[in-house]
Amino acid sequence: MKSFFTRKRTFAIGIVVAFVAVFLALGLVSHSNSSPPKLQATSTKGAQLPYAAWFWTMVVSPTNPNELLVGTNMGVDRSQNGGKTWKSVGLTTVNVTSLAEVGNAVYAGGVPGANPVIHNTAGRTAPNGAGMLSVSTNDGTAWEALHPSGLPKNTIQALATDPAGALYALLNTGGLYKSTDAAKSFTLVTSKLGISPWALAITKDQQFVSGDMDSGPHTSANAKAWTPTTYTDLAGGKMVMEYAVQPTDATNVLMTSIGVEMSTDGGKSWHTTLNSKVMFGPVAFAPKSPQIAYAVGFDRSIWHSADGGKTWTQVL
Amino acid sequence: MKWGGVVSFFASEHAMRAERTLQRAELPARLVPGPREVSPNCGVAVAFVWNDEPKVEQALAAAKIRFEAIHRYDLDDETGTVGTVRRESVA
Repeated sequence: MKSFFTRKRTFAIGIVVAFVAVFLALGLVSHSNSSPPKLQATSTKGAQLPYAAWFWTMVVSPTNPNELLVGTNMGVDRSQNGGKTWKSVGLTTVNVTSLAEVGNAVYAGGVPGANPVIHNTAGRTAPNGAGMLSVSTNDGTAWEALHPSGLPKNTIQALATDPAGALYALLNTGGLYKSTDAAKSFTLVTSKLGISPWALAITKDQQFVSGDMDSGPHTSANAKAWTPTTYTDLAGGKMVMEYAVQPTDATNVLMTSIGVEMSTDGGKSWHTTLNSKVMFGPVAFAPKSPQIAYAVGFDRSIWHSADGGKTWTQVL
Repeated sequence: MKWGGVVSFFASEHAMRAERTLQRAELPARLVPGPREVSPNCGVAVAFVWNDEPKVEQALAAAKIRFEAIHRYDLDDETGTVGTVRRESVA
């Protein structure tokens, strides 16, 4: 009886097996690189922020990685136990759109009034009004109003710091200003950002990243000319809510959207690290423990990462 | 601003579309964090003035925007006061 495994057939089968093996291997590699992590369902038993009409921004204390400050349309809330419980600590009549840290100083920017967001010609922004800038040097216990020279008294839409410690203030008019003297004075960077003023961060090599809820993330070398980043959020849109730059490595950036995204190249590309149906807002790294990060969902859930934003667990 | 109702959604992009649609129809409306007892699905809801409820439902239907439910719910921007669900109509 003639054997089925002739030389030709054995060779052909070998080729097919090799192709299948290569395709399987490629599929596995591709899968591990591009698929978002398993969908994280929010637990209704988890810790919750007090209700507010908008959750804007967050910083972690420079001295205690369990101490968080969150800016809402009704001021600043503080947790001293890693997000488990919260208490209002001031600026309660201010729509606090942004918190930023330089050393031990926490700066709060915004506009008086509780109405959180409007649509204007620049897009979706905080409402127009007399801008407010305050500072706290005791983790939010007390706030001092600042009146820096050179900064127009318009709504502060976002604050950001660069790796060298400069403070930037983005107004809801699109004007961007920079201070290098602890917010005593500001100088104009650009009078028109050129994209909708919403969220802003400065990453490695002074690279600006910015975006809003509708047009997605952008990058710029000078905050004047912007390049859109190839990005689609988990719902098929281009939502950007807030950024956080890792203090020790400014190429690592977190961005909230539907869930949480991470960039390891200073904001040029993004991948999902917290896969969720929920829209997220505030996000921050702990300055002295840069592997620790927190994020807040608009369902008031609080999430913690112990590995620089790569994986997340809900605070219960 | 005091709101008397919220619309809950299965997905945030539907909430954003709904906000735009209602505002274009000149109905006061705004994205808000969805009260957890109303819907934890996507985190956000759209608040509206309860007297506008029939128009809100009509505008969302006309724009073919999928929503989960319309709730009678008190929200106050100034105080952060939230109410309880008093009536729910599932779409």
